[in-house]
Amino acid sequence: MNSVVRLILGVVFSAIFLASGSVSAGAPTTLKMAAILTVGGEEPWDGTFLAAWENARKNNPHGLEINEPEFTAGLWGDEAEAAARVYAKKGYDIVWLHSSYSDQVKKIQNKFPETLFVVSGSGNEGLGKNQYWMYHRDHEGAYLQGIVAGMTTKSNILGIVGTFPADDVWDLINGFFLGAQSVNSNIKKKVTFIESWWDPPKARESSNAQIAAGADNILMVATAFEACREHGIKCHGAYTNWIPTAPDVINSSFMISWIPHVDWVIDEWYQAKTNATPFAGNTEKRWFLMKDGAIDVAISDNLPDDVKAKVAEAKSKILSGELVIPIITSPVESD
Amino acid sequence: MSEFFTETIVISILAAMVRIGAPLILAAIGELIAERAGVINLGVEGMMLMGCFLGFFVTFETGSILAGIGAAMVGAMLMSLIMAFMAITLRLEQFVTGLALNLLASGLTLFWFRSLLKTIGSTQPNIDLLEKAPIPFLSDIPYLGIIVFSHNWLVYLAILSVPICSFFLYKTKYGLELRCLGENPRAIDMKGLSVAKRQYLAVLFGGMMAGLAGAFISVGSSIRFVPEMTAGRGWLAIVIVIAGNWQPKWILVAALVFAFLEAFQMHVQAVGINFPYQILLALPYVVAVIALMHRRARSRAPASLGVAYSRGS
Repeated sequence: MNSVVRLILGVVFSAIFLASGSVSAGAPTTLKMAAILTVGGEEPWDGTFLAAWENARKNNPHGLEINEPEFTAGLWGDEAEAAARVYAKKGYDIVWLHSSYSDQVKKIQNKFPETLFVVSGSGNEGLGKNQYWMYHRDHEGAYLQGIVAGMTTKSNILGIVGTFPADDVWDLINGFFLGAQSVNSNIKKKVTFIESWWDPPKARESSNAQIAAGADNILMVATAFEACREHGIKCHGAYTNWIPTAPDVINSSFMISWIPHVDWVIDEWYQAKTNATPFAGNTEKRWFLMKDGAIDVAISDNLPDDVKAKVAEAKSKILSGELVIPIITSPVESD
Repeated sequence: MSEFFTETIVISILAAMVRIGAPLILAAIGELIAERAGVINLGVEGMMLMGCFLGFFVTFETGSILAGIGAAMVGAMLMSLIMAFMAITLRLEQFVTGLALNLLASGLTLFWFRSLLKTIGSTQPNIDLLEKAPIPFLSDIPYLGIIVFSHNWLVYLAILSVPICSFFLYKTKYGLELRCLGENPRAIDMKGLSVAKRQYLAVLFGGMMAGLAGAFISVGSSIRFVPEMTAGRGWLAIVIVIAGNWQPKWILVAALVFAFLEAFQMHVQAVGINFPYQILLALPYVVAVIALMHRRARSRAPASLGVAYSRGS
């Protein structure tokens, strides 16, 4: 009898062991990512993405061992497609194309169904399947900056020097002015685009033009702060914390993070691989908010206490959900 | 609309015109000298970019803006030495050589920027900007003082380079020889003068001026460097030489017209005039095309421009 019981127990435990073994065999333990960046790590859009990648490496989500950042930069059109194709052929699990690259993904996604492609920002098409579309909405951060600008302006004229008039730039422009108007009803708006992603000399001259038009607080989405220092007015930074660069000039800076995006994509990839199901990429833009850790704002220590308190209050309300900043992407004309 | 025609805005537009025009003038005057010597240097953009990077990098490393500007000039001159060697000594196709140098500069500056200056995320290397140097007394002149005499010294150098270049070309023996090189290098050769030496010097001068223009873009305008920072201004300088019909005074005019249109569209946006600014953004290039068409009939392009000189041919 004992030998029969031992036999049964042996069979049961063996079955359990094999079953557990088969599960662990299906769950991946490593993840290889590659990226195609627009400019490189020196610019905040790309740099914050690389920081999110490093964060994932450090945290090992699902116990995954993730490779060091491996990327190319400055490729567009056919060259970007070729690079993505090479990454996919070399067996990278996730190929993250960090800008408007859905046209390129469209041509190759069916050839590499095991590869998860990611595109980010405006100018993309929601292809679904193995393409995921990540987006950044920065209106909440810009709203808090608007509060700073609205409370500290003397001329009541606020400016924004932007890059391109894109959907994900208009949202933060509207957010900035909404924030300013929430504390100052006399605000006049000035909006300029330099029509380039990175051209500091042009951005500088554009801010000079706004200063001539009376602006004394400028949100420099195009990131050039020289004119603000030269004319003794205040600037506000975008995408990363620019305050240490010029603490006497920059009163606030909104900071983006791709950590929630990267973590979410890794989760999606892991679930699909573990369950052996096909990828189900989102066809609509997917973004995260301040409460998710996707956006934050830094303000200068030099600001008056009442301004700091107002920003802290608004931020607390945004985080709790009591204050919802609307996403407005309609164009704003200069007053 | 009335807000646009205020004293403040008009002065701001004209002062911006001078600042925006300065690097264009520097690069275009350098290119003029090279082209007058018969060598068309399409590598101006690359040489400017090299000057832009080296100006920033050396200033960042040493803390000396002067050292940065010097490095920008030397670096761009070294690039122009390659151009001269390939175009004059090896007599290679000048267009292809210039384009290759642009690609070389683009790759090298990006590589050096990434490898020498670690910049990930918010850690951005910065430099102190070349300070304004208002000229005593002249900067106090109403209107003109702010528009012309209240900038950094690179702007004054750009403006001065035009009459100096004009004097050199039209009033000196060496200027005459240089002009002759572009028209008929054989005449110089038959006089027993070295064609190659003069062309080398002209191309090197062009490179030095492109480097200076590049330094203006970085240390003269911005506290930081970004890849491809020259953003096509070198190409615009080449167009300006053609639009200026290879004459210094018209090159100055052409550069200021381009710069004015750029400054104008920025202020149209800032003031908030209900006008599609995208049209204004395209306007400098439309004007360039019109200028080229206009100059076609009365072109003073050097007759031997782009043709490698060979004694035997």
